[in-house]
Amino acid sequence: MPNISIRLRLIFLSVLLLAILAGSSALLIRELVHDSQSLTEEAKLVSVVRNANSASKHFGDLKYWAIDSAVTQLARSQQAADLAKSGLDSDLKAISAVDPAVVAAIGGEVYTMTDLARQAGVAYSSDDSAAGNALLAQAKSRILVIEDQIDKIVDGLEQRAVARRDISTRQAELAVKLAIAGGIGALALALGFTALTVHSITVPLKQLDRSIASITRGELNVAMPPSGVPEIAAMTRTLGMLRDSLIERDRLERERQRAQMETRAARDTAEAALSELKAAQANLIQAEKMASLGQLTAGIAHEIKNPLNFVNNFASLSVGLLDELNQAAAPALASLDERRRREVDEASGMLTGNLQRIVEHGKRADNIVKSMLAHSRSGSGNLESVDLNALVDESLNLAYHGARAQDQNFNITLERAYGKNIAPIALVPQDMTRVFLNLFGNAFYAANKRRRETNDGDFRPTLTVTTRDVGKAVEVRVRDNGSGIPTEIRDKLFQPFFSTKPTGEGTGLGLSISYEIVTKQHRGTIDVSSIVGEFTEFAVWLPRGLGEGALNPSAELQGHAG
Amino acid sequence: MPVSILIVDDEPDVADLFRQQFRRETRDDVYVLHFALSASEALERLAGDIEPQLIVILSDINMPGMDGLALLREIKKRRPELPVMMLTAYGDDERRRRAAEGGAADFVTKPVDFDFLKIRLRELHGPLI
Repeated sequence: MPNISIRLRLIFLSVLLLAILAGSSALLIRELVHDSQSLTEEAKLVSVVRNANSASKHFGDLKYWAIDSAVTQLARSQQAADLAKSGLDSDLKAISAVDPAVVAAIGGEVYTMTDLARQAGVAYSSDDSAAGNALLAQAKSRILVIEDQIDKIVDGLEQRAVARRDISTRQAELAVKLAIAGGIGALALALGFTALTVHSITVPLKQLDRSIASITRGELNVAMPPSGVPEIAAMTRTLGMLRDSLIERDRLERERQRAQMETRAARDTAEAALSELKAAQANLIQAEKMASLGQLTAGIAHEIKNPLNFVNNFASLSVGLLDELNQAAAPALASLDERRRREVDEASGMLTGNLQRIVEHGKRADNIVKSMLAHSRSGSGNLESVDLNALVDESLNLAYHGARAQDQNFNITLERAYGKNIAPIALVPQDMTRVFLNLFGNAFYAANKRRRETNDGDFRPTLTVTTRDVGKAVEVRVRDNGSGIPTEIRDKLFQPFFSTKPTGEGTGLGLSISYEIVTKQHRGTIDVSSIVGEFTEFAVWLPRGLGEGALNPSAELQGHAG
Repeated sequence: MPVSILIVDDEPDVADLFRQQFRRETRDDVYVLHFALSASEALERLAGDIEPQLIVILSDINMPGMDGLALLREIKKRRPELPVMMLTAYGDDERRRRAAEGGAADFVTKPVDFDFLKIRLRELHGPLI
């Protein structure tokens, strides 16, 4: 039943039920009418039968009184006979419709019989008894005929009444059966249609209910079954819209969450960028500080260099001159007395010693000044593509033998963890050698200082050098197991003239120059990590591709030249 | 036969230093030392006669007025065959490069290693003794 509304369905069902009711009623009415007709006919028959019996009785009276009247000649008998005759006539008239011919014949016989009785009465009155007897005998034979005929009619009528009653009874039984069957049929039909209609409504309703339950549970991908019932179809559509809006709400929620996550990610990125920026800023400030300190250092060195040269030159000249003087004065001195000569020798010796000390300290000062000037060198070396491991190893051997030459007691375990297959890298070999010598020298110093200070026979000073190719850069790590660097002085490590060594043992320029060489000249980084009492590790990171393009490694440093 | 050396430096003490260092050589008539305190003075001296034969000019680079590298160019214009050695406290690449481009015979950093300088002079002039 497609596309029929519930109202129409119910109206249709009502009409159908009414029709069934009307049909069954019509059937019943028809049967009842039939029965009532039967009953009417039966009643008519009963009335006729009663008339026939009355006629029989009236005839009995008539025959008695007619014969009595004939015999007695009494007026009262004649009257009774007349009364009976009129009653008989009226009865015969009433039943004449049953069998007019027989009734008419009976009427004729009755007339004949009464006439014979009247003639017999006449005869008797004339005392003709024989004639009267003969006439009476004739009348009595007529009576027999009439009685016989009346009996026949009564019997016939009674038979008909019985037959009629039987027919009525059968018809009534049939009507009852028909009424029961019709009622049952109508009921079944009505129930069937009702069930069909209810089914046609409840099935889509149940489907809709299931859909609603699914959506309530949050299962939004449920199907919306199309329904042929417009009201339910409308509800389904509404539910579909609800479901779609829920899906849309979920989608919006997911989008909102995604947007929130994106926002969070963006914020994290921004925060990371900010901290990177801050770190870069700190580096820049540090670099600027270093650069200005470097400039200052170089400036001071320039100013000291020339006078220092004179000090050194004249001092070493004076040593020679004093030598010549001693030789030239030797004969004159020989003529002096013992005491004076000793005085002169002593003064001369002290003078020579002083000059030698001036030369010695002048050389020290010159070394410092040279280191200071290293801050202003406008790139003394050229970029070369070199084997990093070879360069590092060469520097390590140089540093080791240099340290051994200075101090017989010095020793250290060298661990070389050189990365394999490191492609050649462009750098300034002299300057990077200087950096590595410096780092190795510091490491040797720190490890041996700890050995001296701990008095632990089991302590083995160790230096580990690690090289690594990281694709766009190379990395060199120099690690010693010395006493470590306290956190509070790590910031100052790369500043010029910062030194933890006793006066005279270090210039405090090694790391500041290394810093410039690595960060400015090679655009790399140098970092330190350390745990006091455990280790110190310097990590140098040198990018590749320095010689490519217009990049001039010395560009940063030219401005320092005086 | 002695030969002349012209030393150009704005520091007056340089003259004393060289005189003392070359005391033996001047006494033995190997070298005659001449001094100029500026580039312009050096060019004046070069225009006049320097006796005996001038074999080399040693010049500082950082000087007021005309500097040593400009002097080098002037000398090379006038006396291309005359060797010029640059003496400087700043042994940086840039100066070395410009000195070499200007035709300097050598580049000596201060403080001057006089033993080395004397060897270089003998190479320029040939063995004297």
